[in-house]
Amino acid sequence: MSTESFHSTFNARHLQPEEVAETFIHNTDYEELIQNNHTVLLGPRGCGKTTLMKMLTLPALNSWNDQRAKSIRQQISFNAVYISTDIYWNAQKDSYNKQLSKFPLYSEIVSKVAVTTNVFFSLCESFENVIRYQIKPSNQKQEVELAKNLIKEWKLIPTIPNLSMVKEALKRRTDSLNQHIQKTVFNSSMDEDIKITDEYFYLDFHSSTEAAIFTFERIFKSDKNCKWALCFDELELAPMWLQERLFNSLRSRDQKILYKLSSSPILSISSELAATPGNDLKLVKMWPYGNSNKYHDFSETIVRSLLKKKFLKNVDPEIIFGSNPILSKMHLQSDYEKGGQTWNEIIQLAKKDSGLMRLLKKEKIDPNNPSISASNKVKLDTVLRKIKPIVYFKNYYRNYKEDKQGRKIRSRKSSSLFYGKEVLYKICDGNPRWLIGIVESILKKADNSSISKISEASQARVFHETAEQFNNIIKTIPSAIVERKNKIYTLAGILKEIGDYFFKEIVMGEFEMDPHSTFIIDDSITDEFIGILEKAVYQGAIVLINPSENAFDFNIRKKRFRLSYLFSPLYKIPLRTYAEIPLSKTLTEKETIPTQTKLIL
Amino acid sequence: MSKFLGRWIYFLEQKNLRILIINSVYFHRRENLAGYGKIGKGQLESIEQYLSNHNDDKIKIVLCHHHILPHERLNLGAEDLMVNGNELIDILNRYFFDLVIHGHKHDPLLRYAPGSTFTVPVFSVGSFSATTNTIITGNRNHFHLIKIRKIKNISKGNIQTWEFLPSRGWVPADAGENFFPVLTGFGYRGTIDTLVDKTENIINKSPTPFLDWKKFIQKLPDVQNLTPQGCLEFKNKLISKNIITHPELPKCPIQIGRTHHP
Repeated sequence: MSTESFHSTFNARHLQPEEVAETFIHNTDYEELIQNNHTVLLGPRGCGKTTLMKMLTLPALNSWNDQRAKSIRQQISFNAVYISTDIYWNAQKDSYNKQLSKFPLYSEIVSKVAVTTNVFFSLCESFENVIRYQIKPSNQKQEVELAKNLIKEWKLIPTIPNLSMVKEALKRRTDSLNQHIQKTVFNSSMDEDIKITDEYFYLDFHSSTEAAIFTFERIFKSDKNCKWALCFDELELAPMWLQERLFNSLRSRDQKILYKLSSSPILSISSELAATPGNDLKLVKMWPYGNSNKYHDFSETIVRSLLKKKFLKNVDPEIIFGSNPILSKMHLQSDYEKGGQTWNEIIQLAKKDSGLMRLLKKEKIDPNNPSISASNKVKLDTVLRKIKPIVYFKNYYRNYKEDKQGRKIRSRKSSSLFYGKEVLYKICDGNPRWLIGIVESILKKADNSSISKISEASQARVFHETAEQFNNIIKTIPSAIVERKNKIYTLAGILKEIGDYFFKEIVMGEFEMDPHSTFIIDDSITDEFIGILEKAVYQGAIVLINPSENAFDFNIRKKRFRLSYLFSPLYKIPLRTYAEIPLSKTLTEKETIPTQTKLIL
Repeated sequence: MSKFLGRWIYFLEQKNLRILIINSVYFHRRENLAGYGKIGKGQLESIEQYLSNHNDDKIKIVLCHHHILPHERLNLGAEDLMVNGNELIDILNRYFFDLVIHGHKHDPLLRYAPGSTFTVPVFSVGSFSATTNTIITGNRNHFHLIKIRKIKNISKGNIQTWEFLPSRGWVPADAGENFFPVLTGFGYRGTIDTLVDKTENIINKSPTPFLDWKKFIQKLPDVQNLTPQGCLEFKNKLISKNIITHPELPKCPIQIGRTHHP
């Protein structure tokens, strides 16, 4: 995977619904989404929100080859209208080269026209889908009547009255809007100078959509009890007025239109504007939080399907990737008994780590024979299982050195701690895009003709390269730079400081049973700093561990986070959540050498 | 039997096909003669004599390097026109030639030669593997597939064109209205107004105010035999009658229909 393709290769945004359905893996989040109520999907980039949203559409549902497909098609009681957020909706802020920044009112109008036009286009696609899949035999005269109505109500240029040409006319409207913007930029200097004569500027996406749906149902005599779901995807990229309006609309009940929204884990809008999750609004948080193992089975299913695609038959992931001794649940007690791998690791570390030695003695465990009888299972759970990852990491990385280029210069018998099926399932935090990318990269090293384990070193290299690529993505995020206490921080720099801090504490520091591996955004963190940390949340670079229970989160202050497990090979820290520490304590406060970070014009 | 008339004129004869091949660079013996093409008077006489002895209804095509019609657009100059080309056109018109195919200009262009009754279509095919034209005229390299049907001495032709895009290879031509279209043709000898009237009738009789282009073409195949210029005129006259195609001609449409004006 190149840096450029890190997010794009397996991005459902670029796929047709039928293509999404080909590789879709069902999960519990999808079950929540198909319910007949407003739903909000929250999750970082790449976690599969777009895939789930596209799987609501009729072409996807009818292409999905799965034993559950038929019953789910019958279960869904709404017609989905999939609407992908376009950066041009943010007329003033991010698009049109910021030419509209001096026209705030006009910018908002342009933004609303752009949104309305996109919604109309998506609605036409849904009409076409409903006609294709649900109304048989379809009648072209009905389509003509509908199209004539839409041409009139949506103030379109005269065109051939069918849905494909209505969509063409909507594309031309976008072109016409762009021309209007260019004329405005060249001929006006403030909002008051701008004349708007085209009637389409005054259309509202919600009321016009509702009217069009009623017209459709009247003409096609379709089920009037069936609702229509406007599925707005990637709302974090949408203009603020739209986010506020949509989240506010979630309060409404008994209406024709449902909303299915997807956004970043942290909402940008004011907390008063959003509806409260409850019976009519379901919130789905698409990342593992707490000690959730929510995505283990989902990840395993994805891996199995990729192996089947590669080897053309069912293959146990353990055969290809092996099992990781730190994360494996299969080793059970024998691993801790005399001669077991963990037993050996503990003895080895206890010989050179006085902290571990003290801990074992305190817990009345013999450092020279730390085996525990089956009768003392509590101690196995509360001590040995807990310290196991730390023991392995300390043993491995204490002898670890890097040259100036960051290359490991002293090797041990084991090439890495990052290999095995358990690492695969855990390291991606339930992010299918990352998982598919990693598995496909590892499988490139496999021989198609023989089904055998891929070396631990090869797997470890892919995990490390993926972490590097993710870090490069973080480095390229625009405006992710902030000053704090005379020090310039980039987002990648912040994450490195956090990662390095945890490495020093977990691996290099005094042995502790519960070291720090999570952080709380404490009061000394400035709003500006929080702004770029929110970008990290959106990218999935930091993971919210304690989201509000069945409620939206509007701010990351006082929230607890960990680094994405994807960074673990880079910062050499275990895939495990330990105690929390205020973020400010992980940041060094040494002044940086003044570095030019902005081009002086 | 195929036959050479001298060293620079050749008639290739096949069962239903006659190709007249003219070497228009025959006179390029000195530098000052190499700036234009030429067909000599004697050669014209030989051609006429051969054709008078072989006056049948085969498909007849001319292949030559230089252009026989002025081709000065895109600042391509006038001095290289084939000398005596006008007289050649007269002969080709008299003997109902179906197509002239020539090169030299690296600029694809299809039109009819001048004439009072029958006029031969003349096709400048552009270039296949040149690099200079892309800089001078913006034209790409082209590859054409020409199909000609001839029934009772009336021929109709279709031309399908691909263009070469670096790194993508040969793709259906799509460079825009100012360039050679992906589908065009020749052989329609009626007026554009007649075609427009027929189109209106077809749409009026249709149960919907639009038709798939394929169905429309089945009802009015002559539209496929319009030259690019004729196609443009057809499109504009349709628009004046509130009829459009999608995509717009000369691109290959999917549908044609009357626009709705609320």
